[in-house]
Amino acid sequence: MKHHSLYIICILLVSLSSCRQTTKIATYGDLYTEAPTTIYLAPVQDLAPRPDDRTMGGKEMVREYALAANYLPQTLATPLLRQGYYVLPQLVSIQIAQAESRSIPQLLNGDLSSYQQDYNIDAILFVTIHKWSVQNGGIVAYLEYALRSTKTGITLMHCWVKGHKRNWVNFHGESVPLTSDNEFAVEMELSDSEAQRCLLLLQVSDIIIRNLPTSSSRRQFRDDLYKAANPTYLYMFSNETGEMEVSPLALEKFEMECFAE
Amino acid sequence: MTRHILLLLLATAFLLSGCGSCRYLIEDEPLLLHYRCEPDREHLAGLAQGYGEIIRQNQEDEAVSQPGLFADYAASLALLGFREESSRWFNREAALYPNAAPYVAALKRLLILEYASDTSTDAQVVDLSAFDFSAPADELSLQAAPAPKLTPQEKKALAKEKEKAKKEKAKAKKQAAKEKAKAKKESERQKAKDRKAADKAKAQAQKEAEAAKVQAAKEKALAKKAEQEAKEQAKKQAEAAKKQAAKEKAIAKKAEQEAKEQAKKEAEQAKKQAEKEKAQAKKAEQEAKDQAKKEAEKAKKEAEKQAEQAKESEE
Repeated sequence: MKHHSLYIICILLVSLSSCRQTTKIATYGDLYTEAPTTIYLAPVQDLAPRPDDRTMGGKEMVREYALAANYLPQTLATPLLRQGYYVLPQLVSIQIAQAESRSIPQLLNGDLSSYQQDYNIDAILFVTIHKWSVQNGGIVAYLEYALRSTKTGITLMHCWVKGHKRNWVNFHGESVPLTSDNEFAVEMELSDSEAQRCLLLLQVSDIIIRNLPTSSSRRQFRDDLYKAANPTYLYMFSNETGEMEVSPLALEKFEMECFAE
Repeated sequence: MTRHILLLLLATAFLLSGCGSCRYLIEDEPLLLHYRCEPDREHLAGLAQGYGEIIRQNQEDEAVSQPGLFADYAASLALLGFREESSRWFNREAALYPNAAPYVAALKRLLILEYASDTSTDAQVVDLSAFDFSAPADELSLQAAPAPKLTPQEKKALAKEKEKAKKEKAKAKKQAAKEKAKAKKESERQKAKDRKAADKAKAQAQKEAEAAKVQAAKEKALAKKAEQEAKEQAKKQAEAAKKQAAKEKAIAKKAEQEAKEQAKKEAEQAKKQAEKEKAQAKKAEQEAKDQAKKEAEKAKKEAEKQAEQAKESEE
């Protein structure tokens, strides 16, 4: 009887400890140690399979995918700046990417010390679009974010995201775009479907980057050590008000949905 | 009342002071996306103009410029052929943000090598509206070449004309913005109307659905109650039958027990009686035996007495 109670207490303790969210110091320990301040945004790696452009609507989809990939770098700079990092601007980044001869996979695995020496870049942020799909009429994007140090080459942050922009319908079953989505479409001169795709990337990037520790150039550096960090695999979905809600995602589920045929 | 007015004034002042420090971001504009999608000179010029406009607005509002803004403006100017201005803006970025100095130096070597050692930071926003960027690059350089020398009067007239054109442009822009705002307002009003109707329909449908749900729940509860009652009744009956059976069984068991005990009692009594009779018989037998013995002894004694008497008589 005594043994049984002990086992039950042990199981309860283990389950409770697994429920607790990890802290930023545990997830971004290397980032706190290295304390990068200058970040360069590598060109986006777009690996999303394209639909057949001979099918109905295929051409528009291909164009939308390309447009979203072009918009993605634009979504990264502002949240990084808000966290206190110095981000190399867009046009400058394009010039540096053109001057460098290495491809993204080479950069992801190779030596980055030349970026530190030539441009004083402390870390490089890589973003990969793995797949686009549709679930319940809403757009789904499978993305990967990785931040690599140019000093040591270690990965300071790495996460995989399934972003889901839900489609809300009215009583008649017609799609009801949110006012904020409409405003975004007007401001960015985009069609509704293009705006939905771009907005999804904007919201996902914002959540991922806002969770990074504050830059060491700010006095708030290390104030957030024990705040909750995002899990490595994330599922983000938009609610009725258009805001993103975040929940952990199983590795197997991400792998199966993203990479399995 | 005075307190309320004071509070209102304070809140307004706070809001206004907040707006004063707002900075304009290129990420909020579609220019960068246009250039990324079609990286040609026309879009680059549009982007450069956008950067110039943001810098001007930030200067007017005395807002701090976004890090990297001057460097990006400088890069766009360098690519459009405004090399000297580009160098100055690059230098301003490096002066403002020390982090930028190494990459600014690298980019100056890459884009404007002749200005690599230039350190001038006296930069002005370039008015690109006078240039036609749809033309090829070599034609642009001709257009961008310094204009012939003008007399002070001509200069004054040109400046006046420029000012007038600028004013007209600003006026047109204002008008366009006004119209755009009006159209937007109208569209929003229409949308709000549509939304309201949709919301009403949704609310009605929701209400109906909820009423149906409540009715269904009620019926379900009633059915459940009836079922529960029937179940309880059946349970009660089963329990009563069980109780009766147990009672009967107990009675039968008691009777059986009593009969058993009676039989046992009788057997014990019979046994006792037999034992008593046996003891009496034994006693009687013993008594008879004793009597016979006594009589035999008496007879023996009598015989001995007679024998002695006979002997005595003989003697």
